[in-house]
Amino acid sequence: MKMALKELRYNKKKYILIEVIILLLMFMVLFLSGLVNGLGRAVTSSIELMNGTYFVISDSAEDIITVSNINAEVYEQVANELAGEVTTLDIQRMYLQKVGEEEKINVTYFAIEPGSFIEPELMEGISLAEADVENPIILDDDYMLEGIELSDTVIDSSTSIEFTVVGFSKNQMYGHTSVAFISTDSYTSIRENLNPHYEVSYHALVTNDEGIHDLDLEGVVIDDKQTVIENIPSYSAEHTTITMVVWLLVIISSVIIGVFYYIMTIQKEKQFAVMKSIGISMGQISIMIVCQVCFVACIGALLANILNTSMSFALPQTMPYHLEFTDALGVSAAFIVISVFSSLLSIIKVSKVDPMMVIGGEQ
Amino acid sequence: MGNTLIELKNIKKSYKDGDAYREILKDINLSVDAGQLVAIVGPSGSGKSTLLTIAGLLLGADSGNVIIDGNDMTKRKQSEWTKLRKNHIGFIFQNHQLLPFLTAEEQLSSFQKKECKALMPVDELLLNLGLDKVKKQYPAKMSGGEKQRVAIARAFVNNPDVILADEPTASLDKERGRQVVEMIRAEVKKHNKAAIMVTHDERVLDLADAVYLLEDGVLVKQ
Ligand SMILES: Nc1ncnc2c1ncn2[C@@H]1O[C@H](COP(=O)(O)OP(=O)(O)OP(=O)(O)O)[C@@H](O)[C@H]1O
Ligand SMILES: [Mg+2]
Repeated sequence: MKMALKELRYNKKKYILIEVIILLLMFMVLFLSGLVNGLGRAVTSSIELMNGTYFVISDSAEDIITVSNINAEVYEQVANELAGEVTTLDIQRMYLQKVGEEEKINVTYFAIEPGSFIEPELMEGISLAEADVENPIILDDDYMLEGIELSDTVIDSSTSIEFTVVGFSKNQMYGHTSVAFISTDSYTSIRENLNPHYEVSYHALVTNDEGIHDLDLEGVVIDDKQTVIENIPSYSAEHTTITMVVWLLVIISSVIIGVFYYIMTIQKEKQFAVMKSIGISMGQISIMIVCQVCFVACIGALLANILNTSMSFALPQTMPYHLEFTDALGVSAAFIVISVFSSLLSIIKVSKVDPMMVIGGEQ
Repeated sequence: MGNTLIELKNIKKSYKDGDAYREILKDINLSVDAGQLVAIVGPSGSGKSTLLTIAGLLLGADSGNVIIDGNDMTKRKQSEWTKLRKNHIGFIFQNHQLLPFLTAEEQLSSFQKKECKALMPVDELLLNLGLDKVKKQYPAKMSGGEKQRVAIARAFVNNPDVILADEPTASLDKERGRQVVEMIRAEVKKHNKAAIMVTHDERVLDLADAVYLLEDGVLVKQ
């Protein structure tokens, strides 16, 4: 409606001020959701990126992959009875050292069978199966920042077993540490080194075959990827808390527009009375109000998105920040919708304005 | 004189005054024909504005009927009143009551119905009222007289049958005041409208076709 825009233009100083506040609030919201996502990925990304759909873990583990224990017989049974492929996965938190350096670097080993379908996608180098060295290792690209390069040697701190770096993979994180992929054989030698009585067993079996549900297996549960992710220690607690904060902020900022608008509506009561007295219907006035709030909210959301996107390029790479386009869109859309809803307050107010108040009195 | 455009029948209105009710209008009857400009005078607080707002369907009477264009509007819904205000009534308020965010031109064009565009071209209306110079100006930059004339133009824009003016000259000097009433009169005569004008200004009464005095809740023809 033309009148809505004319009013915005006439009172542009006021509206620009409101716009600035909305812009800052929305920017904060978007930035926080980027951090939520980024932090979440630092906990889960290796599982998320993994090319596996179903995870077999022991039922006593309560869906926590790292406390699960699947013995070799179960693996054999599944391998025999399942039509599709199945492979093993072990996840172990340890420390790595560079040759000749004291400093210990946090690492989470993902022990996999070389050549299996859960080998990570590489950004550089060759896969575990292709490597022709005793203990090959594929590192997350974050280790590049530590100065580690292809064909360097890294040492497992607790056992002094040496690994040769054969490849790098992007965005491989688990439980806030960067991930290193090693072969199950290397993993077994680490375990045997630490505990001479070690008997081979696995944290989980991974498969993409739905038929896994039909097998008659004892003492195990079959989890999908999402269940595994949600049960990574600390993930749920962190994720739900920050997500709640983000949505709370979305709601608060949209209600703030509603309240600002309401205050302006009160100041303009007389104008609305004039409109009503000369026969402009409440329907038209409501459209005008919704148009204005929608306009202000859309512009605010758009500017905040632009600001946020340009800001994200300036962030250091180590910062756990990641925002998908769809998430930004979701947050912005929710914000606009709630804003429009909160403008109902103003519409109700205007509907109660008595057109009689234009009679006599001062301007 | 021809057909009656607005008729008030047995209008009563009281306001609550503390615990008691004060009767402002006691059984008012008034009808105005096409082409007639009627003036209402009376002491301050006698209920002139109240009467005019009842006639203009801004306020409901306690009893009695408001008949506009032959239709009894008394029992109709609020939304119908609003529509009628837009289509059949041109209100001129004591204080212009222009919307601050619209230019003179927009004050008129924003409310004009499509059907009236040809009949009452905004440009011509503004020109006739000597407002072509302030066409693109906002009310904040207009003189009091200019604002009041824009308000008059706005009242004409949807070609209403009935024009109701509440002290249209109150904020104007003698000459301007007279000019404004002359404009209303000219419009009434030219397009055969009915107009009721409340005024304190004795000097414009000669322009009215009939003058009524409202005192103690009773309307008496002078
Ligand atoms: N909403 C209201 N509630 C109670 N009393 C009211 C209300 N509106 C007006 N009155 C009273 O009704 C009386 C008539 O008011 P009204 O505005 O119609 O007078 P008026 O003739 O137009 O006066 P003036 O010439 O000063 O404009 C006044 O005494 C006023 O105090
Ligand atoms: Mg009055």
